[in-house]
Amino acid sequence: MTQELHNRAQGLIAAARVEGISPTDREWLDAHLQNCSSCSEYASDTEHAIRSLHLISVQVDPALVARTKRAVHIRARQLNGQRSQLWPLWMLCAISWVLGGITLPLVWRGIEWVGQYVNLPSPIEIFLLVLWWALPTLGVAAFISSKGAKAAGE
Amino acid sequence: MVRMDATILSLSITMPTEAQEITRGLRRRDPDLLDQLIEQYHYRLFRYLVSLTGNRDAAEDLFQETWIRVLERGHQYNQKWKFGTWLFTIARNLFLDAMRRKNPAAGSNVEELDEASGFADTATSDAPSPFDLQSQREDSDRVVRALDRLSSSYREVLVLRFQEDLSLEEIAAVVAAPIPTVKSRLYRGMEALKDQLQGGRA
Repeated sequence: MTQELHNRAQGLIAAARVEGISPTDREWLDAHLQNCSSCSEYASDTEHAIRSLHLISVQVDPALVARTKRAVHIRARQLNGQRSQLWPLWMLCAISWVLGGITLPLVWRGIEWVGQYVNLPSPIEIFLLVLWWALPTLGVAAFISSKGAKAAGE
Repeated sequence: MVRMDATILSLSITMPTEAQEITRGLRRRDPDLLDQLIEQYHYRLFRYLVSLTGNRDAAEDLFQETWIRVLERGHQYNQKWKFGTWLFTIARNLFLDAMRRKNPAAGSNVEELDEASGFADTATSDAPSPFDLQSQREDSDRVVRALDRLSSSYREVLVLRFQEDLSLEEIAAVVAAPIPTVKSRLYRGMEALKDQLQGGRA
């Protein structure tokens, strides 16, 4: 037998465990292993190495599991509490959006009047309108992110 | 019969799969679900962390941190992977973060961290590692010592493939490496493990 055949067999032995081999290759390999003691030994060493990984036993301290569950419960309460605290804030934000939308024509007329009075360019008038509408949301967003940063710091 | 089939069909449509239940529970940050998951996965996670860190204390710290992170980032779990795969990814990222905090000069992959953390040195020393101390049987000790002597990048893929039975795609996701890299690490890791085991036997 040539070295090339042994190399092929050993490559297939490893491949069979890593990614699988085709039925044709499997057939060829089985036939080769029947007649080749060195490759058979290689195959059994490979099997032994892989099987040996299952021999490793690790003891998990039950106290660690209990401690972890407690920590998870405490953190879940914190996070869910933060979430429920923020809920009224989001409601206020939504109400302010709706009210902002309803009163938009009126506010626009007011801004226009002020704009004519102090001679403001129209892009600034539009900017003021957007700002007036977005201000509550921006305020809430700033509040939430500062709270989030504080919580992350903790 | 037709009626029964229809009932089975409707049950299979309405009954959520395990992954869907996990997704929903994680979004709700349901602590009871987390309890169940901790029960179900604690052994596998701890074993993976011990193999990654080679240190029981570090593994214990990361164990708790991993579950807290699962709770905090639960909304990001998207069923693309099995829960176990996602869990190992989180654990590995926390391990890399911890190593980087310890050695800011260290790189972003396991091999570089291996050198930076000095784990390989500890593993090859004659003194039994904390990993050794956990092993009860003689055979187990020998395998642990052989595994300890391998590079982290080999050890981690071997553990994920042959202990955790993850697919190549799943391993690639956990170790953030392309599949060909995972395969090549597996081939080399198997050879290295065989050498170590034969050396140990001799």
